[in-house]
Amino acid sequence: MNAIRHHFSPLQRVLHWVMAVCILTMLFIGVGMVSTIMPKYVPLVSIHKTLGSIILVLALIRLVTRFYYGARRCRPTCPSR
Amino acid sequence: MPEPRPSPARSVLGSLVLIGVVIAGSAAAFAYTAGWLSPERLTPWKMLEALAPPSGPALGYRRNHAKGICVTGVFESNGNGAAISRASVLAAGQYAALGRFNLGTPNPDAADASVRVRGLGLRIMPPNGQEWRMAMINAPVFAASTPEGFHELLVAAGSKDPNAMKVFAEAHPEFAPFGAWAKNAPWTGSYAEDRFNGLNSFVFTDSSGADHAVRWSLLPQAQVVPVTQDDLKKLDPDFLEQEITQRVRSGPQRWTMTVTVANPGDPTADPTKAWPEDRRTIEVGTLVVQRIEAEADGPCRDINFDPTVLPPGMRTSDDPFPAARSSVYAKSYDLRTAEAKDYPRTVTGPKP
Repeated sequence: MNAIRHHFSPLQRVLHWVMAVCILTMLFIGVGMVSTIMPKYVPLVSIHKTLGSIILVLALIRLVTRFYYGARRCRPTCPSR
Repeated sequence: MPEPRPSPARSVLGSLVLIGVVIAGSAAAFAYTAGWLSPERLTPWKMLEALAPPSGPALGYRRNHAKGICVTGVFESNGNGAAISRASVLAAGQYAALGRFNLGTPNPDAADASVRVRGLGLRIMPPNGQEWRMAMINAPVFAASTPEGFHELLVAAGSKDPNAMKVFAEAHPEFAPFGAWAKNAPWTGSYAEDRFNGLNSFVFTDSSGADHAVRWSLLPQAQVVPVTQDDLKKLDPDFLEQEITQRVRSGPQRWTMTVTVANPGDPTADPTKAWPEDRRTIEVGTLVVQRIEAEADGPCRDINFDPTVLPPGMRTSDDPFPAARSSVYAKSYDLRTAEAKDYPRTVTGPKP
């Protein structure tokens, strides 16, 4: 926390990309399951529930890591907000 | 002519093209998954459209089996079912039961004598939360082999073409046993005298891990008095609800639950095909109905009797119907619960 950090921590980066994959997967499973009456409907709903719960847990972990590590410091080239 | 070097503008263009391809590809994959590129896909929505009467669905009600009444009681499990399933609901004991007697019609105001198919949705709740939901009907076999066939049947039944049903029946010989039942089987004057059949097959897993393909039924313990449809037409349009309310008030009503185990090779994926009579059949318990309540304020109103809600020790089989029913019931549930104002509760809302 002392040195100026220009990167997110490896843990934060892993969380970010794991959640990106999970959320995109959720979009596809969600739109697929509500448009089918095939037997795959049942496992799709089941995965959707489980994955949704996992995403909630990951989001909570992500909040903790954000409070612990903070955000990266912007480089001079980084677009101003 | 010298080879031109890629200018900064061109590499920006290249990047934009790449981004465009990724976005378009993702959008196409999403549209494909959603079924927007396959209009022939049978969706829950299409099934509900086919179920709806020409005047449109009754808002706030179930999209099929719309007329019903709530029942509560207990399921007395005798423990015999533990031989074929490790589900706690089949271990000896008494478990709370909540159900709904209903008529197979999308019209909640249909006259009772006009509806051939009667049903019972049931939810058995052991204290550990591993509940068992089911929805059964009085027919001995189902009307269609596949959800697609059922959709065709609904379209034919709702068609203005007078020959539509004849054409359907000729193209679908598997409809014949159900058709014969609907035409020839005697009626009863009471839900208490009806037999309710699960029709779909499921897989039970016993404590050793062995699987058994099964179907189940509830057999009435009340004396069955066969009557004709014409006898029933002389009665009040709501005679079934009035009769069961009075009968249960004078004493609990009972049904014996039996589970039939398939032999290897029996048709488990096709609910139009009955299994031979000699198959192993186990009496697993008794449903005791102790109380009847009107649906508007009753405990069954907001329950989705989804046949894929099963305890550990039971699961769906290769029968395609439970999954199809689950998907369509979920859509029906979403719609009717959002339309609750169209079906007011009598206690908290205005009188209907």
